[in-house]
Amino acid sequence: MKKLIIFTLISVYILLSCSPSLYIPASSDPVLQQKLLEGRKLYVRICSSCHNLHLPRQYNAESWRKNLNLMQERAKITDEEKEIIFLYLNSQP
Amino acid sequence: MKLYITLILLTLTISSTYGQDRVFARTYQSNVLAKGGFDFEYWTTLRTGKVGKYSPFAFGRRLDNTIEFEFGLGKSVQTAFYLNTSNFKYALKDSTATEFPTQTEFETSFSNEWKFKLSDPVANSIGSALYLEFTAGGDEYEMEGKVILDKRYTNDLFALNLVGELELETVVEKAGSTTKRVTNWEAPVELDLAWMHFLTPSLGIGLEIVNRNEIAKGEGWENSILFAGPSFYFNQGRFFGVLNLLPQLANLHKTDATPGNLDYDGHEAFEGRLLIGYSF
Repeated sequence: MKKLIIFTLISVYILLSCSPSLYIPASSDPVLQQKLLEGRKLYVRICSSCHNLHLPRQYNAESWRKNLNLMQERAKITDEEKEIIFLYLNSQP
Repeated sequence: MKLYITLILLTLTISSTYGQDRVFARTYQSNVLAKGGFDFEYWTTLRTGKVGKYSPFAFGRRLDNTIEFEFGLGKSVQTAFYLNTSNFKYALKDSTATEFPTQTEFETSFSNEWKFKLSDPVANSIGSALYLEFTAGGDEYEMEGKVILDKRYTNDLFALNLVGELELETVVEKAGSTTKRVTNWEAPVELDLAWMHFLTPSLGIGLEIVNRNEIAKGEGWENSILFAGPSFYFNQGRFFGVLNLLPQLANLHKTDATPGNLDYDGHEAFEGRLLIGYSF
């Protein structure tokens, strides 16, 4: 039982010591920063309710554009929301 | 040819954004369906073994089939309904015949599951969810709870489940000329650890580790059996599938009831599971 508890605690510790994989924007331009934060918020709220989130670096701009166009109807997002999400996904330094 | 390959890769890339993306056969992830979302899953699990020293069976084989309907209820809550069937086929060890006569049994049960997502494996430091499942079939009732933790890196997903079960079974016992109904219980505890590496967004290869601990009424902690084996994941459009092969590797807690390095009396020697699903 001792081994099991130690194994569980180590596993939980490793998982808990992680930071968010999805980058948090830090732009020096306050207007852009607000848009990027809004984009992240929309991406997390809308997209993660149906599927695992993909990391921005997993796709290039062209692929993200195709994915977002494809998902727009299913996600029920406006053109404006889609553009804000697209901006966030393509702004990771 | 290049164009053909590019089109296939593009299709795989785009199609991977659909669905709930269940990538493990046994270990659960924290994600839930969106409100109004609907998934259909079919699982088939083959178990072989039962050749232990104390087992009355010369061999055994069990095939479990599950049909599952999952519904997203919104606010990070999902429910699911299962119809489970089990086919047992086994041969008695004490037969003197050169070929063991086989016997078969068939069971059905019904389950209802609830999953509550607490955090996301990509957007938060760690993904987490709570899970409850109720099963009824024949004279048996089961309640299962899980704490689900997971974490997604670029091309890797890790998940850990802490599982507790309570199984109740009512049996009729004879004591002399009288009979009485007795309820026996078992409370297995299970740890599931899984890793999946995504070769592409639509294809993954990984490992699942399962540690089952039997705790029963009057017996205490009987054993701690370790299984581990590879998992393969794919998705195409709204279809997804997972294959896991899980041999028994060790008994980590030996007792008088289960003294060996392996336990073929109470556990299978090998499990294989194929899960296919469709997201509507």
